[in-house]
Amino acid sequence: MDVQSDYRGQAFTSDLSGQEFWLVVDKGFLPVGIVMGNCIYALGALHHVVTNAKSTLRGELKDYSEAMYQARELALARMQFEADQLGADGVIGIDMKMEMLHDNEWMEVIAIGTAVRYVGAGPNKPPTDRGKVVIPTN
Amino acid sequence: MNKLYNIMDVQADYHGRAFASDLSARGFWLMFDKKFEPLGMVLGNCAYSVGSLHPLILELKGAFHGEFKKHFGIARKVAMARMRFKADELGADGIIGIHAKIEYLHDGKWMEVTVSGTAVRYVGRNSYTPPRDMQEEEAVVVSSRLPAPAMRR
Repeated sequence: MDVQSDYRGQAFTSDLSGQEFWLVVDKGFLPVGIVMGNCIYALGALHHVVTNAKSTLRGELKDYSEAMYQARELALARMQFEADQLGADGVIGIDMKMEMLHDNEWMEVIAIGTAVRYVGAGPNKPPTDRGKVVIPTN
Repeated sequence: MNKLYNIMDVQADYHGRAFASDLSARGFWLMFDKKFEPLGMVLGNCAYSVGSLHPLILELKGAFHGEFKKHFGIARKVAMARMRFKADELGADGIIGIHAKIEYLHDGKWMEVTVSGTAVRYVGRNSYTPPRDMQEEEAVVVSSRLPAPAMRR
């Protein structure tokens, strides 16, 4: 119960399956940890009214597009920041979820992925010459 | 890259050293096998309204047999174009694993198209190397944060 949310021990975390883990390791990467970014974004009540009025005409709702894009990019950026803090080279398997809250006026975007670091050139490359992997192609 | 310490200081245009990709590990392996490297996840979206007059016309048209030719217009194309623009900004050779998601809002009168994919670049015969500019700094981070010897580079 003394563990805080910024606790970080030796073990890495990842949402890869066993097979996926093998594939990542085979290319010389090791998972560093699960990284996450989120963003709750409100269009604003006034904007909402304006957008509603605009939507009687046919065409793009620029404010709406912009808001949704910003929300997604912000969630992604925060996730990347977390990965950078861990010294990762990349994030793979990103899962983005968007939910509308509060009568479709707020939106929440969550991006979760596994941060990986390239170790391929180093002396600690894990052995990968054994074992086989089957990739379903359908 | 500016030094940031708080995650809430991160802006939407933040671009650090780590790439992002929505590929699964399988896609990742296959992409690396063909000597491509990921540059980042690119998004494009477009929210589009059909308007209030147009549905009335469609209502009449719907009484006849046939196709609705111009319902949501160019929303999909705009979303795709925005995504391609982002990929070009990153200097990508292509985008793989594109997903398009279409959501109908506001009683089906609004549509939002979101397309996302992974921008990739061909690295050719050279194997993948992580970005060089940060390597020294990163080495410090690695040694201080990951005490397990097997994890050290």
